[in-house]
Amino acid sequence: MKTLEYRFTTTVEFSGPVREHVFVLRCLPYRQPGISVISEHVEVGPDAISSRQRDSLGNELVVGSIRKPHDRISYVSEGVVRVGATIAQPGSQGAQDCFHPLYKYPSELARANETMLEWAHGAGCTFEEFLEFGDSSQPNTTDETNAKLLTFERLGTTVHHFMAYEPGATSVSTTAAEAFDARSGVCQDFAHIMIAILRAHGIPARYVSGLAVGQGTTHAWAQAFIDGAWHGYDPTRDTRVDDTYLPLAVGRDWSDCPIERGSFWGLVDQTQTVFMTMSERLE
Amino acid sequence: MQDLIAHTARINDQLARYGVKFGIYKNGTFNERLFPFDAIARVISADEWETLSRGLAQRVDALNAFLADVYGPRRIIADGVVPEDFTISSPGFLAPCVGITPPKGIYSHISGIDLVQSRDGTWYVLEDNLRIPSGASDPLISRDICRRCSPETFRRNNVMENRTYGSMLKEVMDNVNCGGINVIFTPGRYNAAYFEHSYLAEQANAVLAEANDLYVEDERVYYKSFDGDQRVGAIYRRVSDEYMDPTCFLPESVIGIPNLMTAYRAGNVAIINAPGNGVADDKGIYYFVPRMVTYYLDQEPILQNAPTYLPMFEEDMSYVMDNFESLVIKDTAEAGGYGVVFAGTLPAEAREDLRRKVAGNPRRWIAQEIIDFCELPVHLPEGDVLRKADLRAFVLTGRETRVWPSGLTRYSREEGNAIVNSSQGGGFKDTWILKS
Repeated sequence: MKTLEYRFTTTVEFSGPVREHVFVLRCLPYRQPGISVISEHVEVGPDAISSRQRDSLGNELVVGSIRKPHDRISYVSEGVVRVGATIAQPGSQGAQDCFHPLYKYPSELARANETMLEWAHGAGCTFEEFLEFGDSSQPNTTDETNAKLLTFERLGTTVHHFMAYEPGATSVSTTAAEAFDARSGVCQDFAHIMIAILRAHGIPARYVSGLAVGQGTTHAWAQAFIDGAWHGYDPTRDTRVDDTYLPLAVGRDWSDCPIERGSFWGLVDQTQTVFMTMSERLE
Repeated sequence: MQDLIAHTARINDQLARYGVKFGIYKNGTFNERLFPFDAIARVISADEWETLSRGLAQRVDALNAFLADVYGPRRIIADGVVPEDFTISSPGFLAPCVGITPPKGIYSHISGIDLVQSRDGTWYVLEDNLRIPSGASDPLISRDICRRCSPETFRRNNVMENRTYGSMLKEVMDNVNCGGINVIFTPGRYNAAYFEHSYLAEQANAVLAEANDLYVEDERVYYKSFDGDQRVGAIYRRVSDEYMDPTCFLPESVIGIPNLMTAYRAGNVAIINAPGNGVADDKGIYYFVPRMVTYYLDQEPILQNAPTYLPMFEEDMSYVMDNFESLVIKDTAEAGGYGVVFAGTLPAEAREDLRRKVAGNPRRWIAQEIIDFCELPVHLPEGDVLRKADLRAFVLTGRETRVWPSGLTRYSREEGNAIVNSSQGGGFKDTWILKS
């Protein structure tokens, strides 16, 4: 159990005035078992009218608008959360959060192809444990769950070693298959590849964007729904997702989880500055 | 009717002046065509209509129940009536709509159900259109022009009034209005159906608005008008789901209302029809609609589907393979009369190729028996000819579900051709429902 303090600020400067600006922000802690929010605060300026909503996938949203001409928009999101040591204990009850069968099917950015599947099988990720131990949607005995988790984590490690971390090699619209072919990408691509392969084996999997201690930008990882709970693995850092990770949004792939989506009128250039910290508060 | 038929050319001139046309995509380019009108009306008796309209209302009620279920508790999947992948992995299933209950729980307010009548008189449903079914304005305006050209015809024949469409549409909008004005939201005057949008706005006493006339602030939709901005309570949008809101769906859309979904999610505006309805009018889900009637309403379906086979079921696959030449093969990934193939008319090589495709990807295809549906007379200067025709019935769900006593009868351009979609170049007729 850790107490984490996070703060991130984003400022977008426009080269001229824009107006009719609307936004949807996913910049608040995602509510999942094991995470309790002690405090949180979001401020959007200048002079934005905004409100809180929750989307269909359970993500906390800040939605709103600045209709008057303006040449800058900025938002600050900060807060304190308590995160459990492992977010979902294997076999624990009450962890059946937000499961929806839509996580079982390929999505645009996370769709496996034959090459990826052959590769995964060649690397020993055959997911036999999932067939052997049957229904993965219900709580199971700890040994069986642990066997499944080991396979899940082995896939993460395999992806980690196969891919080169190379910022700029891919974009937000790069698919899992494209990144796999290029053998390079960023956290988003690593997560997409893992998710695509899991789903091809009938294992529900979702994309998580969020913050991690020691990471200067927003991060992304994968979760699989195993024996009644979501379990996370970070293929970029090759580690189990623990109490140093804070999810902000979940979805089928990146496209469901952007931290910021917006629209405005104006033909301008824009420059974005992001400043982000998350650290453990020692009690 | 002879008096009316003599006015055919004049009626078509008037329709052209109003801009009654439709757009077609062919080989990647977009063209507009006038929609030819044939003055020989299709006539449906009062008795026949009574059964038809009960069947149509029943079907639409079941489809609405299905949509509420699919975006909610998913009982029909848990009970094994509809396979999960047919709904959740359908391209029409929109994740952002999960868990949102539209005002009054209505998803499909305006449904266009396409039917054909076989030679033995049985009506079959061919397709449900629950997104933005178009074509209500065509029989509405043509009836109006016919009435002006030949008032005698309507004095002598006992035809049910169809001018009620505007008030029915208004009732549908008022019923779900969340406070504010009713708006018909059009992509603009370059849209092929712009005439319909403007005409229906006039008929339903709603405001015709484009994206630039509307904005969202504080989870509410507003219309910019000369005497101050007005709150919008219901939007009959003629923009497809994907283009409706660039901050939720396709970001490149310039014809959408940014953040419209935030107002919808907050329950501050009704969207007509609800986003996400594509999951219920998919060519694959069609197979299950009669079962939905039984499942949700505990009633026997009054209307039948054309006999349909899903190759994904083993039994159906073997039937399809054995009777391939006699079936219509439909690609569930296509719409509007595209991707519909009469396997028997293909050259042997192409037919075997299609057979392999069906066997290789069963989920993508459906197969149907060819219905020998009836032909209707079409007047040509050189003499009347017979053409295959279908009927799009408009079913409106307000406080209750009612069928508009009219409809769009479309006929095929060529003799023997059974594809009547207007995007394939046919014409249309008035549909007379006789009074009892």
